Amino acid sequence: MKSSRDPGSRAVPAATTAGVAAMSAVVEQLPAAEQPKREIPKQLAELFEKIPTQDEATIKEVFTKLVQGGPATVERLVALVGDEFGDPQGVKPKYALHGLVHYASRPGADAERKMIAETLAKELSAKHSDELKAFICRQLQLCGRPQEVPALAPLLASDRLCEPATQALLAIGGQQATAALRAALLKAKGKRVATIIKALGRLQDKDSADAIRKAVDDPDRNVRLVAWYALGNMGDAHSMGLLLTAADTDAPFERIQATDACLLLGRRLAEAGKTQDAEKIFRQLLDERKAPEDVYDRCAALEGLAAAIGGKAVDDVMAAMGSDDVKYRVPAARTAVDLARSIRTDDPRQAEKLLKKVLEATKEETVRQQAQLLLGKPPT
Amino acid sequence: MSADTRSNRISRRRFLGTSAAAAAAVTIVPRRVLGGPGETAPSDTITYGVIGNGGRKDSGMRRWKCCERIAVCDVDTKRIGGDRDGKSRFTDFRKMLERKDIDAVAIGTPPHWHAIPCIMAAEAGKDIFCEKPMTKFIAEGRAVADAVKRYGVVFQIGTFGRFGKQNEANRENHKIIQYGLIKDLSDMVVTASGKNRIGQTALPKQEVPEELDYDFWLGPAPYKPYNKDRVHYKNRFYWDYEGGDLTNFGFHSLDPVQWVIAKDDTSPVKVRPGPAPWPQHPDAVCPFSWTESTYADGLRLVLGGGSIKAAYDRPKKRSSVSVKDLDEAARKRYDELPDPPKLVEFDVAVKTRQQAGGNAESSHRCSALMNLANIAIRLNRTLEYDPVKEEIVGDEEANRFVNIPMRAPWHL
Repeated sequence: MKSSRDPGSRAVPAATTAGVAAMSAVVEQLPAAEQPKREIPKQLAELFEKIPTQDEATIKEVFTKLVQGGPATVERLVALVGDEFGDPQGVKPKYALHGLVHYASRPGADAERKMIAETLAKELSAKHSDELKAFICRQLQLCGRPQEVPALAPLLASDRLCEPATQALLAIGGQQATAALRAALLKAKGKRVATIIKALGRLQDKDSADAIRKAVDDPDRNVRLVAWYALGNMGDAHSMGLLLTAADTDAPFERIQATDACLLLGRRLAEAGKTQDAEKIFRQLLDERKAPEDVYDRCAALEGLAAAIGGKAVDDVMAAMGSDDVKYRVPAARTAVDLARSIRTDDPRQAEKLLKKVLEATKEETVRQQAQLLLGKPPT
Repeated sequence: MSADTRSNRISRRRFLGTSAAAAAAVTIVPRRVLGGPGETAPSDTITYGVIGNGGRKDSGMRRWKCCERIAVCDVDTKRIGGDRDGKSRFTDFRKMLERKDIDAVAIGTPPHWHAIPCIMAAEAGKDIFCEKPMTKFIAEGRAVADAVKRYGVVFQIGTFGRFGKQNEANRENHKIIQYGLIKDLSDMVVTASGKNRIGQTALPKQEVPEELDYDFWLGPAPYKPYNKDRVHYKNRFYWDYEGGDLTNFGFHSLDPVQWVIAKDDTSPVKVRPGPAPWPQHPDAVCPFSWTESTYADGLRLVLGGGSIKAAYDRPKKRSSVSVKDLDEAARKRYDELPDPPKLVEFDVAVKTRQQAGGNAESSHRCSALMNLANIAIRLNRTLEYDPVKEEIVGDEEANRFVNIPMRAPWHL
């Protein structure tokens, strides 16, 4: 270590308790190449020498021994990975720790996975850098279980760690993870708001709908957009009017995204059996998006309507296949084939009507062949 | 000078003035406006914007003469060029998608940035040309294929092997397998090949160059400190952005093969990794040898090209089928059933609104196959897959690779 008299050195404090703490802070700030060499226990060093390897027996030997080392070994591996992302000293420890996560997560190894996941979760409250904790979150994204949620939840308050913790929680899924995110939303600020709303939308958490509805007027566009997505994906029927209003905007990109959120809401409502609500959304879009440049919205609304109400959409699909606009007519023919397939057992007459119209509406050979095969005719 | 001469003489100034007026009434029209021989009339022109103006740019789009690039977008301002060529320039592709005069997009970003622009382009009613590999993880591919179908837009992947003579010669093979005229194909092994360059395992943090919006470059990928060897082509060698050369070069080789074996609408039920050094690094792509993907009809597809030279470990009796392999009943059925339709090029697809030959569904299935191969390699485990639900069965950790969470505000 350089002397404090060296003008190029960093000052090294005296070896008092406060000094040791200060020295640790200095060491943490050193670039990876300047980090002091970390001592590797002999047994671990021997195992590191053997990996990566193609030999299955060696793989089993190394990782069985690492598992047998228990929490102490996992803690040691974490420490050896180091605080800096690109630290060359951390390479072999990373191979070992990451390999251990995969090994212990194999089907049937529940006890091993429990040990690894529990230990990694405890390490989240240890004195490690944010980069190292982000790495730990990524391992928990692979092996984490609901039991690790309490350790991840506090990280939702960190600007740097909210995202990796959220991704781990999303991978774990379930009620506990959802509840942790819902609670964190109440206190979230800045970029964390969009992160958490988006996650609650992906988890389809209807219990957070009220809180998320308040975010649709957020001054941050990212927050507004993810709020629309979240309300659509969770199938929140109370948001129908709000989303349809949002879609009726002059701001081009917002219009596109809010419209997609409406269509998503329609699909989720249909999946939940709320076909009347779904139909209302799709029909409103079909009625409102009449301009030629909105044809793609009409295609999407027609597809959604057919999937939601089945045979009751036959007339709409037939009319679409009679459109002068090829951009509407040809996709409508594909929708017609899907619709015919879904109704032909219950209503073969309507299915036949659709399929015959397909043969008039489109020259797309793949679709024509599908229609002919469904009609039971040898395709021409 | 006689009076007659004077009256007949038109002054030069008057002549020029008259001539100018006359000239203004006659406009010189460029040939391309009228769509003369060799030129595309405006109504037949497909205007497009490039998203990601790096190495590939829009080189694939130039296959079709009727396509005209009118806009460029990149998050690296050094890559969007100067202003001399009249094209519009963007650093945010969402702004480009608002333009009503852009018919299509050509996506040349790194693969972690393929799915979202594809989906948003479909939502904006734009046709899509997307470089391979189509997507980085399986759920992305499904989301793109669904969005393309929903909004009725055209999608073409940036590889064209399936349009080539090899596929023309294999239409019989395709037809037999497509219609299930041979029930058990477990003695059939087909091969495809990629390459295998690897990433670096200890890249230190570097200062982000001024011209690069690194946060936007990362987009949905996890935050990791910047290093010049993780971006701009070299992203290929890091799991966060791509699946290595297995997906990069593998796509070229695999896509036409997938058509030949008539698997454009399905996925394997089992994926087994060949020998490879293990564990793989959590960040950097590592060496592999091959993977074996088995379909429900027993057909096996071996994807090789890894830097680990290990021979495939099972016998292969045949790599193709023909009419000669059919019994009488199957041969009769073969004659009754339609031949595979000709694959449609992007420019024709855009004008007729048919699906293009390298469409979203087939490209998703090809990407999914390679994504599954990489998951098997990374975990060193044989995977079982449900090609209808598109889930890995009986392996929770492996299934967590199917739909990887994205960094906010991005989502599928």
